[in-house]
Amino acid sequence: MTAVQAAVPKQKSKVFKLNTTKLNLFLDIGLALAFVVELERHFTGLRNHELIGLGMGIALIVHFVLHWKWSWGITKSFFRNLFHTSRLSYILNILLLVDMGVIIVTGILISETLGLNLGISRRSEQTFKSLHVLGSNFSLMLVGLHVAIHWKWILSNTKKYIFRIKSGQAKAAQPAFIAVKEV
Amino acid sequence: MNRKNNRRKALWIILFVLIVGLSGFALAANGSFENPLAAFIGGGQGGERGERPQMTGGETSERPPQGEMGERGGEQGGFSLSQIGSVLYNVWYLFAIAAVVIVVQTLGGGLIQRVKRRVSRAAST
Repeated sequence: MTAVQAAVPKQKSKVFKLNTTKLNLFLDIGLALAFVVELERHFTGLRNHELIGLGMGIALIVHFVLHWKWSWGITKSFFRNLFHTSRLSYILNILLLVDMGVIIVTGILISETLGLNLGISRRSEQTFKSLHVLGSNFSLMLVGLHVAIHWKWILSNTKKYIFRIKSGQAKAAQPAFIAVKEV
Repeated sequence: MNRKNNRRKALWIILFVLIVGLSGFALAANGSFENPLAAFIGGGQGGERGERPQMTGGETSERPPQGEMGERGGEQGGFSLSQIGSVLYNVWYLFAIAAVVIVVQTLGGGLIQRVKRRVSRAAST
């Protein structure tokens, strides 16, 4: 009886277990789609541009929180093994983080439809606008590289979670698992 | 089996690069082709994304003054589907960078493996 009672919460925890890879994949796809649309203010209209921008800011914070372990690990060991592919990715991510930070902050400062009257002078507003435009031009290249560097991860997880195609390794592992179960 | 997989992978990569190349030509023919780095090359300020360069003379269109915002189609309100070309260009740009990285990674990785194999073979003999 006690064994059955103990087994119930275990099952519950399995049901509510969050698949972070899946969450990452869908969040990243959403972010990429929002990004390509967000870059074209004349496509979205100013109001939608600012709303999508705010949403993207929040989603980017979630994206960063989901990857904080990797970021912290690389930060700690950055100078230990300098010539490594993750270092390139790390530098690119730092650049992207700074760039996105500049875009979001300047975007909030120059916003016209969000109802934030921040009392910024015309001159500073022009500077923020220039920074916002320069940052967004630069971000397309950085995001392109960010996506490109992770293309293997994107491809394998898109196959797995969107097209439901099992990888060769998983297919090969399946019969062995069944055989062990039967024994 | 491994060789077959590699061949299939190479075919997919070639197909992807071809699609990116062809869509690039299509975008250029459509007039939706711009270089986001032109803002840096052109001396600092640069044009805003979404504002297409004028076809006559090739100069980038100037940003409208503050008061004029909202008078252009899709500026304040809803989505303006006539600007879809710019969005497609952004998608293409991301894919183009991915294609370049994939090609460089594949060729570079193959080259490095071949060199490593030769060095280990030379060391064993």
